[in-house]
Amino acid sequence: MENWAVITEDLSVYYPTTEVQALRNVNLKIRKGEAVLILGRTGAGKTTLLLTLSKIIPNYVTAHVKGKVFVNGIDIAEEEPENLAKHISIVMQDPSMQIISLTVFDEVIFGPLNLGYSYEEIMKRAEDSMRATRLTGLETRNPRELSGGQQQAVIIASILAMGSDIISLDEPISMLDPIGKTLVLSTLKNLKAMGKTVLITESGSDLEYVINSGLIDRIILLKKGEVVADGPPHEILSREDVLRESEVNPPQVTELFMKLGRGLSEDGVRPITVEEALRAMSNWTFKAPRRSVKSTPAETRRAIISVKNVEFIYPNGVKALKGVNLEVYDGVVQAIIGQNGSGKTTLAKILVGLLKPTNQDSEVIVDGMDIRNMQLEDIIKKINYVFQNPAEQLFCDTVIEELVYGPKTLGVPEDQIKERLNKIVKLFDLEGKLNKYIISLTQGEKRMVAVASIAMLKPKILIVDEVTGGLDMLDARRLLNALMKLKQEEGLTIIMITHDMRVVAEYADQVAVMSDGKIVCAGTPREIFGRRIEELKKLSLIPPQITVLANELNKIHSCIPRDILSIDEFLECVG
Amino acid sequence: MPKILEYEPKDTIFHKMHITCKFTIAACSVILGTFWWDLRFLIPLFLLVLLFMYLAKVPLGWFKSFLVLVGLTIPPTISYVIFMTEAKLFKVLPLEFVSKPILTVKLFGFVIGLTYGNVYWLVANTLRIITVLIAVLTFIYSTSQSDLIEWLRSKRVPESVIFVIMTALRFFPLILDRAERIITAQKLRGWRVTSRNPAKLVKQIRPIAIPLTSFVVHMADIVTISVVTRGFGSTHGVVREWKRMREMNIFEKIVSIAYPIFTLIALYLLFAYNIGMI
Repeated sequence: MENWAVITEDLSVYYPTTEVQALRNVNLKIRKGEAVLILGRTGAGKTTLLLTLSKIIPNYVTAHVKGKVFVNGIDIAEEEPENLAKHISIVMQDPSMQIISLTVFDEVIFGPLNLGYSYEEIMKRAEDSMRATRLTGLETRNPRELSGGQQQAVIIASILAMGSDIISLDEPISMLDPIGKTLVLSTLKNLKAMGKTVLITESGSDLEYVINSGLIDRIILLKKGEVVADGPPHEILSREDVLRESEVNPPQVTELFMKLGRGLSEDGVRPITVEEALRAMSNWTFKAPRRSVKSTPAETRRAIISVKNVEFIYPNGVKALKGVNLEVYDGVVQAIIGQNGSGKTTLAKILVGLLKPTNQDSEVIVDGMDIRNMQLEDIIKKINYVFQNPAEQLFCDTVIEELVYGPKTLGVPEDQIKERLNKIVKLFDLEGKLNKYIISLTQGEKRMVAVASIAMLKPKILIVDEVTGGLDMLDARRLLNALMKLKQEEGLTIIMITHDMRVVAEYADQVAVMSDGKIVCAGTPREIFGRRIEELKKLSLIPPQITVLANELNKIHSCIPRDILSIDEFLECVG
Repeated sequence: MPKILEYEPKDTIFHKMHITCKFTIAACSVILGTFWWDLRFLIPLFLLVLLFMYLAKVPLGWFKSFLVLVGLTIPPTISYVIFMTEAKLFKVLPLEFVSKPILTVKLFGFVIGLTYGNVYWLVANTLRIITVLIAVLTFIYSTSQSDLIEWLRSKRVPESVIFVIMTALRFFPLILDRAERIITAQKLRGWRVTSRNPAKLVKQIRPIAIPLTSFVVHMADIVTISVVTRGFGSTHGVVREWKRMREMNIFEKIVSIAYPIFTLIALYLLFAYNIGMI
């Protein structure tokens, strides 16, 4: 028992209110010091598993629990959750909701203070944990002012200061920008080196980041509450059939090798990182691709949005935009990417009239109109904005009520609403769900309804802010495909603010990279991602894994273009 | 920049002050501001708390936001103040002063309108609210949450009460922030308030109230998980060794003793001799 951090015996969890069997007979043994990735689609039971290990379920979340759980050899049935905190802690998705205190130092000492340690002990623990999470020097800062990655680091530091041996993290990087993701994962690697047990969940969209970090020793694959595979990363991610059945995509390089039917060795083990793929490809022959798909040059189209010299200063003096110039062409998907705090959302709010530029010599022309002098009611008929979190928008009981709310409020005639509804329902695959209660929808379906309810207003331009954030790959693709259908059928212009570079590579026609309140470069995804890796790093960009692979191979085989954006394109290069 | 009702670490005399002394100043100012009506007492108290606010460098924006709220209470207050024209309502102020009309009319045998007395009452009432607000805002702005929690624990305040105070301080600004975002999201769907009819108004604020309620419930769940897994409440009955707070210096000791004594004397004079009443 002393070697095991976690043991579960026939663990089953059932939510009586939603009648969902979240876990079914889960039997696990996790070694002390092991870093385990719990992988599965949304609803696979990942969060339930972590909450049950901390005994939050059933003590604070109502559920029926069967089976046994041992944490550090302690039968958790005999302990209260607050007393288990010394052994196991949990970090949730959104750091801003978990932070209690108003300074970093206060937050870090929150746990040790609760556990009643001495003053000297608390100071030592705070100092050590802040050093391990690279927070030294930020003690008096308000955590709210830190980046998402730093905020997660603050939560991790506070857990570390309590001395918890097992740190469980529920999709801790899903809401962070690429640099934030890297920061959190390198912090976790540090903790692992200190002998801590790390349990991390992932629904697939950030799988490549987690795998590339080199943190993970083992993957537990969950599907509908059951463990479908359990083993080392190479073994699990090489099992095409199991991954397909679980609706989880492997890393792009693994998928490439699957499609080629090749592996690292005879036993079918595939590479999971770019470095491994490069080693495996060392004696391959390559040829230049035919480049069958050529995008229409966007410049030939009409600019539907023209932004000139836009500056914006918040009341607290923060200069969020420093002379932004941007042209968005009619009917294209324009991605705006960049680090958190680079000014993306401020720019989007200016485009939709929620904020006005603070300089007089600026220009914001949307569909031929200067929106600085227009009322919001008129602006939203031309351009609209979908927030990341559908919970901020949805309030009706059923899907149909939610969809017709906007047009009804704006006084659109009944017959036009019906006509629009029929179209949107088909495009967003909401047939048969119209009378469903919003509360009963999955996260992916809610996001779909939120976007569809704005699409009901028939705007010419739609801004979607992190629309796929927190969704698994399957739900994200469903939503993006619905938007693409809308674009094709109605010529909708889409402005996509995102951190997901795979989405940018696959769906965007044009990309604008923002940094420190300015657009630092713009072009097609090929033009942006086709730059040398070193240049992209300077822009704080981490391109899709397949592009990184092409970029690295280009150094040896010049016939391989650096700007490969998809696996199918790469396949053309393999001789 | 801190959001409204958020502590900000700063190097001011108030931030560095011992929490007992700070709490004493805030509590005594609130008590006096609540009970005093006489402008001769209220104005010095108001100036004193204004000085505290200045010393603590409380952002002016906070004060402005609350001043707007206080301003909004004035019209409804005037609507009943105009009926307070009878001189006998005032116990201390000279009758000839309080009954002196400014603008009055006789309606069905009753005199309504503004007199020196009810205008004095209106000014005093507004000043009381502002004084209490400034005292509370200064305390919140200059007091670290950890210090507050530890201090409350040292006073044997129950953990459940501490938890309520702590989460209110942390999450009130977050809820305001979210409310703003929800209003924006609904405005983008064409939502606006069009009626002043209370029944219709309730229906019209549904698009804001429902997402906000669901956010608060969700937030409560996350906060619970977050604090429980960090051991909150695990040391019930355990003697704490944590003594981060320094001893009070001589100035703080004097203030912590003298101000409550002054307040007690003021209350005694108020209740026994109407000093401070109007």
